[in-house]
Amino acid sequence: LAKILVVLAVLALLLFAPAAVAAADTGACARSYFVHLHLAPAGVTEEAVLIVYDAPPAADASVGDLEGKLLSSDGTVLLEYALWDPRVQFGEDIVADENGTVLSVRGVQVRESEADLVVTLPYSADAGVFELSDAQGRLLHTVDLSTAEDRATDACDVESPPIGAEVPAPSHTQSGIGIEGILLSGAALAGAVLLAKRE
Amino acid sequence: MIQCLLILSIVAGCVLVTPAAAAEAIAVPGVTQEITPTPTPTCPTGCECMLESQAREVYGNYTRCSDAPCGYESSNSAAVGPLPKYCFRAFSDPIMQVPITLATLVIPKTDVVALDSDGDGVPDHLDNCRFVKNSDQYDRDGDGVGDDCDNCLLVYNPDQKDSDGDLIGDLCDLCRFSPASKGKEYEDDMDMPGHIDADGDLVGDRCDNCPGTYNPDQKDTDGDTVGDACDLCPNHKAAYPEDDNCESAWNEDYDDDGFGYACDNCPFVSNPDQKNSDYVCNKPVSNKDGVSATNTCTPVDDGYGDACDNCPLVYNPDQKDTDKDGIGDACDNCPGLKNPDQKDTNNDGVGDACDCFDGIQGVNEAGIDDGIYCPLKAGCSYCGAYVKPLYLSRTKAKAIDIVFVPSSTTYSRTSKVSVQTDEYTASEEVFKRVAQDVVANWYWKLDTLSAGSIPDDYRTRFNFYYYWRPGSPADAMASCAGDLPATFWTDAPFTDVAAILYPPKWEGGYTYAGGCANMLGPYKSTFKAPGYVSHGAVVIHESGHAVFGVADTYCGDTCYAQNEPFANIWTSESACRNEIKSKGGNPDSCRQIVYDDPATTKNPDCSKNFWKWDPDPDMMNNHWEGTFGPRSVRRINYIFSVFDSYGLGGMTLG
Repeated sequence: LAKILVVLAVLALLLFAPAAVAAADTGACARSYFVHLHLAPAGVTEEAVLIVYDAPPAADASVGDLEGKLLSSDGTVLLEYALWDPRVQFGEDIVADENGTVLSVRGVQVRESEADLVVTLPYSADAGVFELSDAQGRLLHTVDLSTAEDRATDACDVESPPIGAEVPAPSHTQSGIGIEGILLSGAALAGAVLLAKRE
Repeated sequence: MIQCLLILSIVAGCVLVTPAAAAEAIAVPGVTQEITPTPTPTCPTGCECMLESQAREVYGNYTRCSDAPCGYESSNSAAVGPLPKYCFRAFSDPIMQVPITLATLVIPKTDVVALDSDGDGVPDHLDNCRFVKNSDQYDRDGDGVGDDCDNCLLVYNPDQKDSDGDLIGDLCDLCRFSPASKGKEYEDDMDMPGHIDADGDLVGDRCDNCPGTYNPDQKDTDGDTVGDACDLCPNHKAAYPEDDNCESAWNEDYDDDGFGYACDNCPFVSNPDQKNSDYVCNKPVSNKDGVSATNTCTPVDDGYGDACDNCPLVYNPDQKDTDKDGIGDACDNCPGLKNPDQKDTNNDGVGDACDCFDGIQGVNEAGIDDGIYCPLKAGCSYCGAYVKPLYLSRTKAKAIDIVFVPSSTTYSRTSKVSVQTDEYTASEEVFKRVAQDVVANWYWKLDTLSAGSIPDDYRTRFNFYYYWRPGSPADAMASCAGDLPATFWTDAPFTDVAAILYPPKWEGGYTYAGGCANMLGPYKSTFKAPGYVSHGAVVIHESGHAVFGVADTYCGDTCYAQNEPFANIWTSESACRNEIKSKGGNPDSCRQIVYDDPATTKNPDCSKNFWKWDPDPDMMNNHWEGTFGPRSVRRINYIFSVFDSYGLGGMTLG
């Protein structure tokens, strides 16, 4: 029985894997939420909330003290990001001559009172809000993604890269189904693994 | 030439006779002189064949034994020609040698009535000084001109030539073209060994253009009165000759090549040959790039010798070298782009580095004849109205999209204030070139700036653009990392990294060249840096932060967060050692980030106790030297891989 379940799980994975990959838009026509916030002592204000063709960052590649959450309309956490607080800036004061020879250098770390924070998030029809919290978990701002101005187009502009570059075929017809597919695929795989372990 | 028969007489003096008259003259035994019409190889007994100058030295007082040359000696001057030699002997006063009696007087039988202008008893036609009373008719040099009126008393000069009219005949005038001071003829012009003609070139010191150097030809090419033989600038007429012929403060020969500063075509590079091969070419030829090449050239001196000329074969007196690659613009096959190798594969006069029609991918092209310095073959459908592509390689999803933004401000390091500038905002072309230079000179050298392997196609991992919206510049000095234009992000939402470039402000030879980033990672980050290409290391350092998420490896601002994954700094020694050990590195190379300079405890505020492994010199250290270390490179490769896999898994939900 267990072996049958494993086979079924694998079949399920194979069946739903394309849907999982397609859960979010990909390639040239990957739609994303584009959230432009301004962080200031008085609070966080929204500069822009758009749907554009863009690629959001890999969640595991982000570092920082802020936390961003993409929530579905029913409050399910779809994605969590560690986000850098852009008010924390680090640089160098340098004096140099024409040849680039450094006369003096001083490292500086500054916490600016205000700064822009721009985040891109994978598009999902299920996505409801984006929450921004500080390092202590205090909610700083909630963005209603349903108000996002959609600048992407159904036709999907081809990026027209130079010769030799890959130009993926336009496709962004699925959304929520993708997430369901991922969840289902994941569940099937988890079940298969558990059964295998029990045996 | 008048031939003379000397017959001395106290009464009548010397009688100058014509050959016809001489035939009828009465011979006086013992007083005749041999006259040889043609050069003779031997001299009479008691006479020696020599130059007159030699006779002067040997005998002091001398006289010729014969009018005819006995030989010739070559001179050092082509202009002078061979010098005649004569038979000379010591001169003894004939008055003491010859008994003077009336019986010795020669009186032509045909003379009937003769004019005697000076009343000395010798008729004019026989008088060797017609207008000077000289009844003795002495003529010691035997040139037919009596001593009392001979302008070269002891030198045979029957023509009495006196070019400067100072009454001293040319043949004994040491300054034959410069009249002697009146009353000082002897002192000025006559030969006085060791005094008047110090260098013995028979040109008196008073008029010698090289008094201390033997130069009988007196050659003076530049006509500055200083002879070539002693002129440090023989082809340069100095305003003041004294500046020309000695190493004065004005004309020092810095490179010891024998040419003073005033005329050395390479004052600081030794080039004794002064070779200067410049040409002016004036027949333009258009190649297929539309860049004119030239031929039909004529030599013209641009003032710079080959040894120091940045265009040895092209006339370019301004020596302009815009890209500072050591090749002058006038002969640089890529005058706006540094390419010291001048490689030109298709040999069309346009270097590979900027040839957009050579069918090969130059170092500054995104593809074959495409991008950066070449027109983009592909458009940019998503760029919008205010973003212009410089180099498109991939879909924006898979590339790190870097957009350069011009700043309207720079910084005065002396006044310590932000100042307005339109250097980068007044002209789109100017700023575009600034951005191109940053890419070509720095981003395109990431491989050599990395102490480890990065993808061979690393250049194609980027897309570069510049933002140009007149009236909406960035303000690099408004905050540490700079403030972008208000509409930047909505104008360019695809941007991964916004790079604000500001121009330098030179003050006393120096400029503020600081940089700053607002984020570790290429996710809508911003940094600022100087756009001046020599300071491009700052661009790369800040890109280490804002593009690759690499942390500083020096004390000061390194202590914000460990940049996981693939960190290049660690929060503890154990974290550093464990990770390095697991990767096969030497954990003993882990060291704490402490004072920049332990000896001076400079920048001592280093309280977070972070650890590093990358060896110095390190691009992420504060001196902008060296390369990205192995741990930084690992992080760089990670970022490349993340972007390379976008659309496949890096952004899936759940």
